[in-house]
Amino acid sequence: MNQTANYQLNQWDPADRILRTDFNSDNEKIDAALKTSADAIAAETAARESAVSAVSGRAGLQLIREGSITEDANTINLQLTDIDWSQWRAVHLYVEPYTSTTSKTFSATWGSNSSYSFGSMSGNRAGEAPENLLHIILFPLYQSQRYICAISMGVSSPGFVEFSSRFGADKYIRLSYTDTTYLFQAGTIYKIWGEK
Amino acid sequence: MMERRILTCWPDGSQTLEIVEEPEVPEADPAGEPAE
Repeated sequence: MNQTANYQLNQWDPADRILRTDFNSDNEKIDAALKTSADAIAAETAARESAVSAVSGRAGLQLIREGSITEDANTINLQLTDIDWSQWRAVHLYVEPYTSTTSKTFSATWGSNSSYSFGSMSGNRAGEAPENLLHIILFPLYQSQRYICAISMGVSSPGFVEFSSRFGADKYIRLSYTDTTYLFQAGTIYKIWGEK
Repeated sequence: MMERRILTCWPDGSQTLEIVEEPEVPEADPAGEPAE
């Protein structure tokens, strides 16, 4: 009796006896070969998923957190204490401000120090497509002890800013109206991304 | 006195609203915290 080239499965000639044990032997070989193949596919799939995950963790923008304010307020403090500045090349803050007026401007500052200003800008009317969007790109460059440097966009005078305060300081970004007559409205959106 | 509504957005997603009183003509730094 002949056998196949790869798995040595039985091949009957006309004169060969047909025995149950030959079929059982073939089935055991097929079962073992299928299991080996399935295990190899599973291992390769896991390895590829792990590799993709590792690359994804170091590519593009990653959302650190997002939210929208639930109460009207004159001042919003966006706490940044959860950010490990040593892990990011850049951190992006995006704010879609909805405000009680669009004719008055609010300021964006690093902490409460008004001299650490990213600029001032107007808000948007609730229910309308937003036109005024704040986008601040902070550049820690993997160093929490670096002085704050950033590009500020959406403000009336966009540009580069640098402050004598460090990323690692326990800080927040403050959006605030000087006059308490004016409010940020509930629904104002903020998003923080990290960039590797 | 005027009331200032200060909303803090925390890393865990929670928010706290603090209402503080301040003079009618507010200064540039509303919370009055010292500069670094």
